[in-house]
Amino acid sequence: MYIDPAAGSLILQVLVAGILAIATTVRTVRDSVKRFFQNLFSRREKR
Amino acid sequence: MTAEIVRGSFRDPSGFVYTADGALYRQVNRVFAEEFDACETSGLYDDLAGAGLLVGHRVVGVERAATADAHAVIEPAPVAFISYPYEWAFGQLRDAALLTLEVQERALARGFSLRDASAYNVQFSDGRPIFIDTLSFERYREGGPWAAYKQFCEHFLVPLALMSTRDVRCGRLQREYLDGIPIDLGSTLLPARSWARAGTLLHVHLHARATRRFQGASVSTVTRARQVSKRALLGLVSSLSGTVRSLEWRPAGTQWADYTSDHNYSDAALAEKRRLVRDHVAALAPRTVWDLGGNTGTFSRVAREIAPSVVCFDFDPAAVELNYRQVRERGETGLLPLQLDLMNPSPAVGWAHEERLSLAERGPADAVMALALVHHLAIANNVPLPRVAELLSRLGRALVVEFIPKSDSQVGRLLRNRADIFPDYTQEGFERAFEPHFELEARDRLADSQRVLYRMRRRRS
Repeated sequence: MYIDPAAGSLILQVLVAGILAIATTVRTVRDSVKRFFQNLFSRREKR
Repeated sequence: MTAEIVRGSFRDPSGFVYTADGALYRQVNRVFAEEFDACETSGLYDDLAGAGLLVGHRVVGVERAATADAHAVIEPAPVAFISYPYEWAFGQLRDAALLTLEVQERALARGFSLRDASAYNVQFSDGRPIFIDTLSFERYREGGPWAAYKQFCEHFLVPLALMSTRDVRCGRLQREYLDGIPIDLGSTLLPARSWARAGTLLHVHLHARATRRFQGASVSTVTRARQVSKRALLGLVSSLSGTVRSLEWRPAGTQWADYTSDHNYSDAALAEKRRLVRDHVAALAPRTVWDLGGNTGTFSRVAREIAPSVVCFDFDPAAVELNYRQVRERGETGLLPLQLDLMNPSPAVGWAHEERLSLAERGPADAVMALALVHHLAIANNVPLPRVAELLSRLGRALVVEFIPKSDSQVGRLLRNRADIFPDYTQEGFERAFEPHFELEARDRLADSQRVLYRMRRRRS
């Protein structure tokens, strides 16, 4: 690490890590649900 | 082989950039050997370069190293013109920010992370932003926060938020604050409504307060050694990306002029001017062209038909923004729109005046175009014509320049409310001013006007 990351900047990341992780999980689930339906519909169209 | 180390390349001990025998190299120092080899063997570089996100490179023999400390030497693909964030339009800085985040996301997916997030690690090549610092990657350590988070906010998020929600001219602050606009200054300057938006609230306002509150604190003590999961880190990148995407600036419908009707030409006269400009550029056969005061790039595109690399400078952020959007929409290559005030051009700045080059240091261009520009310098800004000629001779080896006389309505508008203190502003005075610096090659009167177009070549080599 050659730049000074600033203590407050690192601490803030730790403090909000929980919220950010939940946001990622929600997004991942949402994306996979979306993909599931997209695949479902595209398969129907192919028939 | 004599190696000349690029003077701005000193902050990162992992390596540096240098030129030798006309080629550009990047030396990887021994201290960074493990990280570099890990990147190289993981396929990270190929993945990023293949996607057009990172500049490609080839590994050359270590015998070409500049110092004895070398672990490896790489030769990166060259970038035609080095530009800086304070010369970019809003859209360019926004695209550079999104590029940086995409690079970080892909790096994390492969078990790496960006060690820095400097806007100076991005350049524009073939109309798109591209990451140029091959040594910015390190292996990702599970549980560690992103060390470059603050740098990303100061280099990208704060200037973008200020330009978008306060005033686009706040982008000029980047020239003063070379390591990014300080997060606390950003927090002070942003409008009150930015507190109500989750992205700017977290990444700017709370970030500024945390930085002040925990200045000099021990991170592990304060956090009781709690860690940041990779999932959280991806969430951080995604949140930054969403915040950047939510920031917009539209030149249309603002105080800025309507560019479609901003000239004094009939369609026929414009076509004639295009043909003349094209012929003159073709006669000079330049590899690089700088179009000064190029507005939204109409004549830059004419020059681009001949020259492989054209930089279109204008002082109006709206013109540069519109030009850049056109480049992106049409996928144009070899044309780079940049913001530049010729009355106060980009200086040499940073440590020992050597970190970021002045405009003149990045030249001379093979040809400079100055169309409908000289009257702005000479009359609106009182620059004597000999001084205009002198500067243009420093910036370019050849010149395509337009003279617009006082009888033209464009100049008349500049003189409407002020005393005419420019007795030498005549066609004769113009030619007299340029004669010591340039050899005249062609002179054409433009149809339906008193305007004259010149092609000149610089006298000194």
